[in-house]
Amino acid sequence: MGEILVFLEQREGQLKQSSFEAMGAGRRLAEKVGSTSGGLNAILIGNNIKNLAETVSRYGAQKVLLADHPSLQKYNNRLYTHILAREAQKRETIAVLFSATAMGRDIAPRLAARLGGPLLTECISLNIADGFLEATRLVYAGRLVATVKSTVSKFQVATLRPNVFPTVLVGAGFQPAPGFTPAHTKVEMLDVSALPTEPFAVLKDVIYTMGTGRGAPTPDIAEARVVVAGGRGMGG
Amino acid sequence: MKGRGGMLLGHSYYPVNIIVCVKQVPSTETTPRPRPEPPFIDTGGLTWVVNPFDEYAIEEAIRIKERRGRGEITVVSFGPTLAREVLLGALAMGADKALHILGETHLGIDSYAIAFLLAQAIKGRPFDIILCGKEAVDDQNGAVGIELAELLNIPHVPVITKLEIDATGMATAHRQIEGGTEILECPLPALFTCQKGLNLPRYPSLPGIMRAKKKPYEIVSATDLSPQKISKSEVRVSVKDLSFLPSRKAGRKLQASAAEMVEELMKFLHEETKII
Repeated sequence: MGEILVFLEQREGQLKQSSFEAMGAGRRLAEKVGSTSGGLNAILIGNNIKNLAETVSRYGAQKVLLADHPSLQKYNNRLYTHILAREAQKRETIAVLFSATAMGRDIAPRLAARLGGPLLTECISLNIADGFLEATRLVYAGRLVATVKSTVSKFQVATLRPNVFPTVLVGAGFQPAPGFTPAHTKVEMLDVSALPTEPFAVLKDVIYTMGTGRGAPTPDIAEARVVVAGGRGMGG
Repeated sequence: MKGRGGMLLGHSYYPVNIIVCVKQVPSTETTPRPRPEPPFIDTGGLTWVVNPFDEYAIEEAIRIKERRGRGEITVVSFGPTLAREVLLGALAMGADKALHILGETHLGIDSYAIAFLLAQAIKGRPFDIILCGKEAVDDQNGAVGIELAELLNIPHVPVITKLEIDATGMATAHRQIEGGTEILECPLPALFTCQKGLNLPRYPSLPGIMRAKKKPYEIVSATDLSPQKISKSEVRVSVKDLSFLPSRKAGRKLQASAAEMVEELMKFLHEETKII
Protein backbone atom coordinates (compact mmCIF):
# COMPACT_ATOMS: atom_id res chain seq x y z
CA MET A 1 0.00 0.00 0.00
CA GLY A 2 1.29 3.34 -0.96
CA GLU A 3 -0.10 6.52 -2.27
CA ILE A 4 0.74 9.58 -4.32
CA LEU A 5 0.80 12.66 -2.15
CA VAL A 6 0.64 16.16 -3.61
CA PHE A 7 1.75 19.20 -1.64
CA LEU A 8 -0.69 22.07 -2.06
CA GLU A 9 0.97 25.41 -1.63
CA GLN A 10 -0.86 28.31 -0.02
CA ARG A 11 0.27 31.71 1.08
CA GLU A 12 -2.03 33.91 3.11
CA GLY A 13 -4.98 31.67 2.36
CA GLN A 14 -4.45 31.69 -1.38
CA LEU A 15 -3.74 28.43 -3.20
CA LYS A 16 -0.99 28.48 -5.79
CA GLN A 17 -2.33 27.69 -9.25
CA SER A 18 0.61 25.47 -10.12
CA SER A 19 -0.25 23.15 -7.20
CA PHE A 20 -3.20 22.03 -9.31
CA GLU A 21 -0.83 21.15 -12.12
CA ALA A 22 0.91 18.88 -9.62
CA MET A 23 -2.52 17.43 -8.78
CA GLY A 24 -3.09 16.73 -12.49
CA ALA A 25 0.27 14.96 -12.76
CA GLY A 26 -0.41 13.13 -9.48
CA ARG A 27 -3.72 11.84 -10.74
CA ARG A 28 -2.14 10.43 -13.85
CA LEU A 29 0.42 8.62 -11.69
CA ALA A 30 -2.30 7.31 -9.37
CA GLU A 31 -4.22 5.95 -12.35
CA LYS A 32 -1.10 4.17 -13.60
CA VAL A 33 -0.31 2.66 -10.22
CA GLY A 34 -3.87 1.34 -10.15
CA SER A 35 -6.35 0.38 -7.52
CA THR A 36 -3.89 -1.57 -5.37
CA SER A 37 -2.44 1.74 -4.25
CA GLY A 38 -3.66 4.21 -1.72
CA GLY A 39 -4.62 6.52 -4.58
CA LEU A 40 -4.11 10.26 -4.72
CA ASN A 41 -4.10 12.43 -1.64
CA ALA A 42 -3.25 16.07 -1.12
CA ILE A 43 -1.65 17.76 1.86
CA LEU A 44 -2.30 21.33 2.90
CA ILE A 45 -0.43 23.17 5.65
CA GLY A 46 -1.28 26.51 7.27
CA ASN A 47 -3.56 28.23 9.73
CA ASN A 48 -7.30 28.66 9.39
CA ILE A 49 -7.42 27.11 5.94
CA LYS A 50 -10.16 24.51 6.26
CA ASN A 51 -12.17 26.28 3.55
CA LEU A 52 -9.30 25.76 1.10
CA ALA A 53 -9.30 22.02 1.73
CA GLU A 54 -12.88 21.83 0.49
CA THR A 55 -12.11 23.45 -2.87
CA VAL A 56 -9.52 20.77 -3.61
CA SER A 57 -12.11 18.03 -4.25
CA ARG A 58 -12.51 19.34 -7.79
CA TYR A 59 -9.01 18.18 -8.62
CA GLY A 60 -9.47 14.53 -7.85
CA ALA A 61 -7.93 13.87 -4.44
CA GLN A 62 -9.43 11.13 -2.32
CA LYS A 63 -8.28 12.81 0.84
CA VAL A 64 -6.95 16.16 1.84
CA LEU A 65 -4.60 15.90 4.79
CA LEU A 66 -4.96 19.15 6.64
CA ALA A 67 -2.37 20.52 9.06
CA ASP A 68 -4.17 23.54 10.45
CA HIS A 69 -2.57 25.25 13.43
CA PRO A 70 -1.69 28.80 14.57
CA SER A 71 2.01 27.87 14.72
CA LEU A 72 1.79 27.19 10.97
CA GLN A 73 0.47 30.66 10.14
CA LYS A 74 3.75 31.53 8.45
CA TYR A 75 5.65 29.38 6.02
CA ASN A 76 8.45 27.48 7.75
CA ASN A 77 10.60 25.02 5.80
CA ARG A 78 11.58 22.89 8.79
CA LEU A 79 8.08 22.49 10.26
CA TYR A 80 6.64 21.80 6.83
CA THR A 81 9.35 19.18 6.21
CA HIS A 82 8.61 17.61 9.59
CA ILE A 83 4.89 17.29 8.87
CA LEU A 84 5.42 15.99 5.34
CA ALA A 85 8.05 13.45 6.41
CA ARG A 86 5.88 12.17 9.23
CA GLU A 87 2.88 11.65 6.94
CA ALA A 88 4.97 10.12 4.15
CA GLN A 89 6.49 7.63 6.58
CA LYS A 90 3.19 6.79 8.21
CA ARG A 91 1.49 6.22 4.88
CA GLU A 92 4.42 4.58 3.05
CA THR A 93 4.08 7.13 0.30
CA ILE A 94 5.24 6.11 -3.17
CA ALA A 95 5.86 9.68 -4.23
CA VAL A 96 5.43 13.23 -2.95
CA LEU A 97 4.92 15.84 -5.67
CA PHE A 98 5.58 19.56 -5.46
CA SER A 99 5.29 22.36 -7.94
CA ALA A 100 8.82 23.69 -8.45
CA THR A 101 8.00 27.07 -6.92
CA ALA A 102 10.23 28.88 -4.44
CA MET A 103 8.44 26.94 -1.70
CA GLY A 104 8.51 23.57 -3.46
CA ARG A 105 12.19 23.90 -4.30
CA ASP A 106 12.86 24.81 -0.68
CA ILE A 107 11.12 21.86 0.99
CA ALA A 108 11.50 19.00 -1.53
CA PRO A 109 15.28 18.46 -1.10
CA ARG A 110 15.00 18.69 2.67
CA LEU A 111 12.19 16.13 2.64
CA ALA A 112 14.03 13.78 0.27
CA ALA A 113 17.15 13.89 2.43
CA ARG A 114 15.12 13.20 5.57
CA LEU A 115 13.26 10.27 4.02
CA GLY A 116 16.38 9.01 2.29
CA GLY A 117 14.39 9.00 -0.93
CA PRO A 118 15.25 9.85 -4.53
CA LEU A 119 14.78 13.45 -5.65
CA LEU A 120 13.80 14.44 -9.19
CA THR A 121 13.78 18.19 -9.61
CA GLU A 122 12.26 20.56 -12.18
CA CYS A 123 10.56 17.76 -14.11
CA ILE A 124 9.01 18.66 -17.45
CA SER A 125 7.44 15.23 -17.85
CA LEU A 126 6.70 12.61 -15.23
CA ASN A 127 5.76 8.99 -15.48
CA ILE A 128 5.73 5.90 -13.30
CA ALA A 129 6.59 2.32 -14.25
CA ASP A 130 6.58 -0.54 -11.73
CA GLY A 131 6.54 2.05 -8.98
CA PHE A 132 9.65 3.92 -10.15
CA LEU A 133 9.36 7.54 -11.24
CA GLU A 134 10.81 8.52 -14.57
CA ALA A 135 11.12 12.14 -15.62
CA THR A 136 12.65 14.43 -18.16
CA ARG A 137 14.36 17.60 -17.05
CA LEU A 138 16.54 20.30 -18.55
CA VAL A 139 20.26 20.40 -17.80
CA TYR A 140 23.34 22.33 -18.96
CA ALA A 141 21.73 25.76 -18.89
CA GLY A 142 18.56 24.34 -20.44
CA ARG A 143 20.27 23.17 -23.60
CA LEU A 144 20.13 19.42 -23.04
CA VAL A 145 17.30 17.27 -21.80
CA ALA A 146 18.01 14.38 -19.44
CA THR A 147 15.78 11.39 -18.86
CA VAL A 148 16.22 10.34 -15.26
CA LYS A 149 14.86 7.39 -13.37
CA SER A 150 14.44 6.74 -9.71
CA THR A 151 16.10 3.57 -8.44
CA VAL A 152 14.03 3.34 -5.25
CA SER A 153 10.25 2.88 -5.37
CA LYS A 154 9.45 4.38 -1.97
CA PHE A 155 9.51 7.97 -0.67
CA GLN A 156 10.27 9.42 -4.09
CA VAL A 157 10.16 13.21 -4.20
CA ALA A 158 9.65 15.23 -7.37
CA THR A 159 9.28 18.91 -8.19
CA LEU A 160 7.36 19.83 -11.33
CA ARG A 161 8.16 22.84 -13.39
CA PRO A 162 5.21 25.28 -13.30
CA ASN A 163 3.17 25.95 -16.46
CA VAL A 164 4.13 22.62 -18.03
CA PHE A 165 1.62 20.12 -16.65
CA PRO A 166 -2.07 20.63 -17.38
CA THR A 167 -4.57 20.91 -14.53
CA VAL A 168 -7.44 18.47 -14.77
CA LEU A 169 -10.72 19.52 -13.26
CA VAL A 170 -13.48 17.22 -12.16
CA GLY A 171 -16.24 17.74 -14.70
CA ALA A 172 -16.54 17.30 -18.42
CA GLY A 173 -14.30 14.51 -19.70
CA PHE A 174 -13.13 13.64 -16.21
CA GLN A 175 -11.93 10.07 -15.76
CA PRO A 176 -11.99 9.36 -12.07
CA ALA A 177 -8.92 7.79 -10.52
CA PRO A 178 -9.48 4.24 -9.30
CA GLY A 179 -11.73 4.18 -6.29
CA PHE A 180 -12.34 7.88 -6.45
CA THR A 181 -15.65 9.70 -6.27
CA PRO A 182 -15.44 13.50 -6.33
CA ALA A 183 -18.14 13.92 -3.74
CA HIS A 184 -16.18 11.80 -1.31
CA THR A 185 -13.01 13.83 -0.94
CA LYS A 186 -12.44 13.59 2.76
CA VAL A 187 -10.66 16.09 4.90
CA GLU A 188 -8.40 14.39 7.41
CA MET A 189 -7.18 16.61 10.21
CA LEU A 190 -3.56 15.98 11.14
CA ASP A 191 -2.40 16.20 14.72
CA VAL A 192 0.04 19.09 14.82
CA SER A 193 -0.10 19.80 18.53
CA ALA A 194 3.46 18.60 19.20
CA LEU A 195 5.74 20.16 16.60
CA PRO A 196 9.50 19.96 17.10
CA THR A 197 11.47 22.82 18.61
CA GLU A 198 14.57 22.43 16.42
CA PRO A 199 16.16 25.73 15.33
CA PHE A 200 14.68 27.12 12.12
CA ALA A 201 14.48 30.21 9.97
CA VAL A 202 11.49 32.34 10.92
CA LEU A 203 9.62 34.23 8.22
CA LYS A 204 9.34 37.86 9.39
CA ASP A 205 7.80 39.51 6.38
CA VAL A 206 7.15 39.21 2.67
CA ILE A 207 7.45 42.20 0.36
CA TYR A 208 5.51 41.67 -2.87
CA THR A 209 6.44 43.60 -5.98
CA MET A 210 4.14 41.68 -8.32
CA GLY A 211 1.65 38.85 -8.39
CA THR A 212 -1.46 38.22 -6.36
CA GLY A 213 0.25 38.73 -2.99
CA ARG A 214 -0.79 41.38 -0.51
CA GLY A 215 0.05 44.89 -1.68
CA ALA A 216 1.51 43.76 -5.00
CA PRO A 217 1.17 46.51 -7.61
CA THR A 218 1.33 44.33 -10.76
CA PRO A 219 0.28 40.79 -11.71
CA ASP A 220 2.77 37.94 -11.93
CA ILE A 221 3.44 36.94 -15.52
CA ALA A 222 4.42 33.42 -14.44
CA GLU A 223 0.87 32.76 -13.24
CA ALA A 224 -0.77 33.90 -16.45
CA ARG A 225 -2.48 31.28 -18.61
CA VAL A 226 -2.28 33.40 -21.71
CA VAL A 227 0.25 36.12 -22.40
CA VAL A 228 -0.54 38.44 -25.29
CA ALA A 229 2.38 40.31 -26.79
CA GLY A 230 2.56 42.65 -29.75
CA GLY A 231 5.48 43.57 -31.95
CA ARG A 232 7.28 42.87 -35.16
CA GLY A 233 9.01 39.67 -36.13
CA MET A 234 12.78 39.77 -36.22
CA GLY A 235 13.03 37.62 -39.33
CA GLY A 236 14.67 34.21 -39.49
CA MET B 1 23.47 47.18 10.11
CA LYS B 2 23.44 49.41 7.12
CA GLY B 3 25.63 49.32 4.07
CA ARG B 4 28.97 47.67 4.03
CA GLY B 5 32.38 48.51 5.32
CA GLY B 6 31.27 50.72 8.18
CA MET B 7 29.54 47.93 10.00
CA LEU B 8 30.74 46.82 13.41
CA LEU B 9 30.16 43.57 15.09
CA GLY B 10 32.13 44.59 18.19
CA HIS B 11 33.68 41.69 20.02
CA SER B 12 30.83 39.35 19.31
CA TYR B 13 31.23 35.64 18.97
CA TYR B 14 29.74 35.11 15.49
CA PRO B 15 30.67 34.19 12.90
CA VAL B 16 34.06 32.61 13.08
CA ASN B 17 34.10 29.70 10.69
CA ILE B 18 32.58 29.74 7.25
CA ILE B 19 32.43 26.82 4.84
CA VAL B 20 31.77 27.45 1.15
CA CYS B 21 30.80 24.59 -1.16
CA VAL B 22 31.78 25.03 -4.79
CA LYS B 23 31.46 23.00 -7.96
CA GLN B 24 33.38 23.00 -11.19
CA VAL B 25 31.05 23.09 -14.21
CA PRO B 26 31.41 23.45 -17.98
CA SER B 27 31.18 27.09 -18.99
CA THR B 28 27.70 27.93 -20.24
CA GLU B 29 29.30 29.48 -23.30
CA THR B 30 29.87 25.98 -24.65
CA THR B 31 27.17 23.35 -25.13
CA PRO B 32 28.45 19.90 -24.24
CA ARG B 33 27.70 17.03 -26.62
CA PRO B 34 25.67 14.28 -24.95
CA ARG B 35 27.02 10.76 -24.57
CA PRO B 36 25.07 7.67 -23.56
CA GLU B 37 27.33 6.69 -20.65
CA PRO B 38 29.04 8.38 -17.71
CA PRO B 39 30.18 11.10 -17.69
CA PHE B 40 27.24 11.58 -20.11
CA ILE B 41 28.90 14.43 -21.96
CA ASP B 42 31.85 14.67 -24.28
CA THR B 43 34.31 16.54 -22.08
CA GLY B 44 36.80 17.23 -24.85
CA GLY B 45 37.14 20.90 -25.72
CA LEU B 46 35.05 22.13 -22.80
CA THR B 47 36.06 25.13 -20.73
CA TRP B 48 35.66 24.46 -17.02
CA VAL B 49 34.75 27.23 -14.62
CA VAL B 50 33.49 27.68 -11.09
CA ASN B 51 29.70 27.47 -10.98
CA PRO B 52 28.60 31.14 -11.27
CA PHE B 53 26.24 30.96 -8.28
CA ASP B 54 29.08 29.58 -6.13
CA GLU B 55 31.07 32.74 -6.85
CA TYR B 56 28.44 34.72 -4.95
CA ALA B 57 28.91 32.30 -2.06
CA ILE B 58 32.70 32.75 -2.04
CA GLU B 59 32.37 36.53 -2.23
CA GLU B 60 29.78 36.63 0.56
CA ALA B 61 32.03 34.57 2.83
CA ILE B 62 34.91 36.97 2.25
CA ARG B 63 32.69 39.98 2.96
CA ILE B 64 31.41 38.46 6.20
CA LYS B 65 34.99 37.84 7.27
CA GLU B 66 36.06 41.35 6.27
CA ARG B 67 33.23 42.92 8.28
CA ARG B 68 33.95 40.66 11.21
CA GLY B 69 37.67 41.38 11.10
CA ARG B 70 38.52 37.75 11.71
CA GLY B 71 37.34 34.28 10.89
CA GLU B 72 38.32 31.40 8.69
CA ILE B 73 36.91 30.43 5.31
CA THR B 74 37.20 26.82 4.14
CA VAL B 75 36.25 26.15 0.56
CA VAL B 76 35.12 22.59 -0.24
CA SER B 77 34.66 20.87 -3.58
CA PHE B 78 33.89 17.35 -4.75
CA GLY B 79 35.45 16.65 -8.11
CA PRO B 80 38.35 15.22 -10.10
CA THR B 81 41.95 16.50 -10.02
CA LEU B 82 40.91 19.28 -12.39
CA ALA B 83 38.63 20.74 -9.69
CA ARG B 84 41.82 22.04 -8.03
CA GLU B 85 41.46 25.04 -10.35
CA VAL B 86 38.21 26.21 -8.77
CA LEU B 87 39.56 25.68 -5.27
CA LEU B 88 42.69 27.67 -6.10
CA GLY B 89 40.46 30.36 -7.61
CA ALA B 90 38.52 30.64 -4.35
CA LEU B 91 41.76 30.78 -2.35
CA ALA B 92 42.99 33.53 -4.68
CA MET B 93 39.81 35.52 -4.05
CA GLY B 94 40.38 35.30 -0.29
CA ALA B 95 39.36 31.93 1.16
CA ASP B 96 41.83 30.56 3.74
CA LYS B 97 41.81 26.79 3.28
CA ALA B 98 40.75 24.28 0.67
CA LEU B 99 39.27 20.82 1.13
CA HIS B 100 39.22 18.74 -2.03
CA ILE B 101 37.03 15.65 -2.02
CA LEU B 102 38.70 13.80 -4.84
CA GLY B 103 36.46 11.70 -7.06
CA GLU B 104 34.77 11.55 -10.42
CA THR B 105 31.50 13.41 -10.54
CA HIS B 106 28.94 13.63 -13.33
CA LEU B 107 25.18 13.70 -13.90
CA GLY B 108 24.93 10.09 -12.74
CA ILE B 109 26.03 10.96 -9.19
CA ASP B 110 22.80 12.34 -7.77
CA SER B 111 22.30 15.24 -5.39
CA TYR B 112 21.88 13.00 -2.35
CA ALA B 113 25.19 11.21 -2.95
CA ILE B 114 27.01 14.55 -3.27
CA ALA B 115 25.31 16.01 -0.20
CA PHE B 116 26.23 12.86 1.70
CA LEU B 117 29.92 13.19 0.76
CA LEU B 118 29.97 16.86 1.71
CA ALA B 119 28.28 16.12 5.02
CA GLN B 120 30.83 13.39 5.80
CA ALA B 121 33.67 15.77 4.99
CA ILE B 122 32.23 18.68 6.98
CA LYS B 123 31.12 16.76 10.09
CA GLY B 124 33.58 17.22 12.89
CA ARG B 125 34.87 20.53 11.53
CA PRO B 126 33.77 23.74 13.21
CA PHE B 127 31.40 25.95 11.24
CA ASP B 128 28.95 28.76 11.90
CA ILE B 129 27.85 29.43 8.34
CA ILE B 130 27.77 27.25 5.24
CA LEU B 131 27.32 28.98 1.89
CA CYS B 132 26.47 27.31 -1.43
CA GLY B 133 25.30 28.53 -4.81
CA LYS B 134 21.54 28.31 -5.33
CA GLU B 135 22.08 25.63 -7.99
CA ALA B 136 24.75 24.32 -10.35
CA VAL B 137 24.30 25.38 -13.96
CA ASP B 138 25.11 21.87 -15.22
CA ASP B 139 22.65 19.58 -13.42
CA GLN B 140 20.31 22.44 -12.43
CA ASN B 141 19.14 20.58 -9.35
CA GLY B 142 19.29 23.28 -6.67
CA ALA B 143 19.23 20.46 -4.14
CA VAL B 144 22.69 19.63 -2.77
CA GLY B 145 22.90 22.61 -0.40
CA ILE B 146 19.49 21.99 1.12
CA GLU B 147 20.08 18.24 1.42
CA LEU B 148 23.39 19.02 3.12
CA ALA B 149 21.60 21.24 5.67
CA GLU B 150 19.23 18.40 6.44
CA LEU B 151 22.05 15.86 6.80
CA LEU B 152 23.89 18.23 9.16
CA ASN B 153 20.62 18.96 10.98
CA ILE B 154 20.91 22.74 10.69
CA PRO B 155 18.40 25.28 9.36
CA HIS B 156 18.71 26.69 5.86
CA VAL B 157 17.51 29.61 3.78
CA PRO B 158 17.79 29.13 0.01
CA VAL B 159 18.14 31.63 -2.84
CA ILE B 160 19.25 34.61 -0.77
CA THR B 161 19.87 38.08 -2.15
CA LYS B 162 20.95 39.70 1.13
CA LEU B 163 22.55 38.45 4.33
CA GLU B 164 23.25 40.26 7.58
CA ILE B 165 24.59 38.77 10.80
CA ASP B 166 24.10 40.50 14.13
CA ALA B 167 26.27 40.32 17.24
CA THR B 168 24.20 37.57 18.83
CA GLY B 169 24.64 35.16 15.92
CA MET B 170 21.25 35.78 14.36
CA ALA B 171 21.18 36.05 10.58
CA THR B 172 18.67 38.08 8.61
CA ALA B 173 18.33 36.89 5.04
CA HIS B 174 16.34 38.12 2.07
CA ARG B 175 15.08 35.34 -0.14
CA GLN B 176 13.66 35.64 -3.63
CA ILE B 177 10.22 34.13 -4.20
CA GLU B 178 7.64 34.51 -6.98
CA GLY B 179 6.70 38.17 -7.18
CA GLY B 180 8.55 39.29 -4.09
CA THR B 181 11.05 38.85 -1.30
CA GLU B 182 10.82 36.97 1.97
CA ILE B 183 12.63 38.34 4.99
CA LEU B 184 13.74 35.63 7.39
CA GLU B 185 15.57 35.42 10.67
CA CYS B 186 17.72 32.37 11.13
CA PRO B 187 19.88 31.32 14.08
CA LEU B 188 23.43 30.13 13.36
CA PRO B 189 24.83 27.67 12.53
CA ALA B 190 22.89 27.66 9.29
CA LEU B 191 23.24 27.09 5.58
CA PHE B 192 22.38 29.63 2.89
CA THR B 193 22.27 29.20 -0.89
CA CYS B 194 23.24 32.28 -2.86
CA GLN B 195 21.44 33.97 -5.73
CA LYS B 196 22.57 36.56 -8.25
CA GLY B 197 22.18 40.02 -6.75
CA LEU B 198 23.67 39.07 -3.38
CA ASN B 199 26.96 40.77 -4.22
CA LEU B 200 29.39 41.39 -7.05
CA PRO B 201 32.17 38.79 -6.89
CA ARG B 202 35.68 40.26 -6.97
CA TYR B 203 38.43 39.25 -9.34
CA PRO B 204 41.42 37.64 -7.66
CA SER B 205 44.34 40.05 -7.30
CA LEU B 206 47.81 39.09 -8.47
CA PRO B 207 49.15 38.83 -4.89
CA GLY B 208 46.00 36.81 -4.09
CA ILE B 209 46.84 34.34 -6.85
CA MET B 210 50.43 34.06 -5.60
CA ARG B 211 49.33 33.52 -2.00
CA ALA B 212 46.71 30.91 -3.00
CA LYS B 213 49.35 28.34 -3.84
CA LYS B 214 50.77 28.53 -0.31
CA LYS B 215 47.47 28.16 1.51
CA PRO B 216 46.53 24.85 3.19
CA TYR B 217 45.12 22.39 0.65
CA GLU B 218 43.71 19.16 2.03
CA ILE B 219 42.73 16.23 -0.17
CA VAL B 220 40.41 13.44 0.93
CA SER B 221 39.27 10.61 -1.27
CA ALA B 222 35.55 10.28 -1.95
CA THR B 223 35.80 6.53 -1.52
CA ASP B 224 37.33 6.98 1.94
CA LEU B 225 34.41 9.14 2.99
CA SER B 226 31.80 6.85 1.59
CA PRO B 227 32.79 3.52 0.11
CA GLN B 228 29.18 2.34 -0.09
CA LYS B 229 27.12 5.44 -0.54
CA ILE B 230 28.70 6.47 -3.77
CA SER B 231 28.30 3.05 -5.31
CA LYS B 232 25.70 2.52 -7.97
CA SER B 233 23.16 0.96 -5.66
CA GLU B 234 23.12 3.99 -3.39
CA VAL B 235 22.64 6.59 -6.08
CA ARG B 236 18.90 7.07 -6.02
CA VAL B 237 18.37 8.75 -9.34
CA SER B 238 20.04 7.37 -12.46
CA VAL B 239 20.41 8.98 -15.87
CA LYS B 240 18.85 6.98 -18.71
CA ASP B 241 19.40 9.35 -21.55
CA LEU B 242 20.79 12.75 -22.39
CA SER B 243 20.06 14.51 -25.65
CA PHE B 244 19.80 17.88 -27.31
CA LEU B 245 16.50 19.67 -26.95
CA PRO B 246 14.26 18.97 -29.92
CA SER B 247 14.44 22.00 -32.15
CA ARG B 248 11.54 24.35 -32.03
CA LYS B 249 8.86 24.11 -34.66
CA ALA B 250 9.00 26.95 -37.13
CA GLY B 251 6.58 29.78 -36.49
CA ARG B 252 3.70 30.52 -38.79
CA LYS B 253 3.35 33.84 -40.52
CA LEU B 254 0.00 35.23 -41.57
CA GLN B 255 0.03 37.32 -44.71
CA ALA B 256 -3.23 38.76 -45.92
CA SER B 257 -5.41 41.78 -45.38
CA ALA B 258 -5.86 42.85 -41.77
CA ALA B 259 -9.42 41.55 -41.60
CA GLU B 260 -8.44 38.18 -43.04
CA MET B 261 -5.46 37.88 -40.70
CA VAL B 262 -7.65 38.59 -37.68
CA GLU B 263 -10.07 35.95 -38.79
CA GLU B 264 -7.32 33.41 -39.41
CA LEU B 265 -5.66 34.17 -36.08
CA MET B 266 -8.99 33.80 -34.26
CA LYS B 267 -9.55 30.49 -35.97
CA PHE B 268 -6.03 29.34 -35.02
CA LEU B 269 -6.41 30.32 -31.37
CA HIS B 270 -9.86 28.82 -31.18
CA GLU B 271 -9.53 25.57 -33.10
CA GLU B 272 -5.88 24.59 -33.03
CA THR B 273 -4.52 25.88 -29.75
CA LYS B 274 -7.92 26.00 -28.02
CA ILE B 275 -6.65 28.93 -25.97
CA ILE B 276 -9.88 30.85 -26.46
